[in-house]
Amino acid sequence: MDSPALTGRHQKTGKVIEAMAPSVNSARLTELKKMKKWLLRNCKWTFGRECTAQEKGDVLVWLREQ
Amino acid sequence: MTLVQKITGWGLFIPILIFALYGIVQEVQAGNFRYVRNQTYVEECGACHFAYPPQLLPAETWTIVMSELDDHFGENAELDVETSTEIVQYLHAHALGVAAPSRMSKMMRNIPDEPPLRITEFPAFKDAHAVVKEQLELSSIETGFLSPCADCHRLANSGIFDKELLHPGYGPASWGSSKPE
Repeated sequence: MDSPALTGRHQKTGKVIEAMAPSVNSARLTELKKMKKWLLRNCKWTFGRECTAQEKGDVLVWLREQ
Repeated sequence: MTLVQKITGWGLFIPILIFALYGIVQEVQAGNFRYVRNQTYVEECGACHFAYPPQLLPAETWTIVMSELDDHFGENAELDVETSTEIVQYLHAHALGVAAPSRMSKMMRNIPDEPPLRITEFPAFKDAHAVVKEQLELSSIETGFLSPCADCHRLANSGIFDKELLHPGYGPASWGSSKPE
């Protein structure tokens, strides 16, 4: 897996995705609406269902420390 | 053709080309776009891919694309109703065949009865990009390779796709590992 501290590209579209890690991109994890939207989409895409509060929390705690 | 004719021809052609390009650059620097922009659209749809100008697809196609956002070419891109409604209205108002004619109108050429959902599968798009494989010396064009318009079309963000205004060398220096061998 590429580091969340690096700029990446969307796997399908090639769109540049700025670093996900708050340590290098202070805009991350600052917009609640955006965070909810992406957790909903990514959980459904990954698991075919919404995540539990615990699962979402785990991801956020991990990402916050990057 | 005689030498005099050649010199006269180029002598006329080059100033006209420079004049035309200068006009386009001026237009862009003035902050003008070749299409009507919507901030919600650019932020939401542009988060994952190039924010394709609405005029690149017919209104009916946008309707289908926007109704299937939970499986958007294999990705979940669902939006709340309010946001999605605003974007659909914007797309419909400026879709292919609805917006004022522009160079993007050529997308209407030879559209089949059931238009494809992907911009890259429209006959006019394919014709215009038939040279890419050869120019970039690729063995094949991978799915998605043509998706980030602005990698090659340097004014694409302004809705300008003129082939005279590509990046030097026709393309992305930054493709890295994604570039097909």
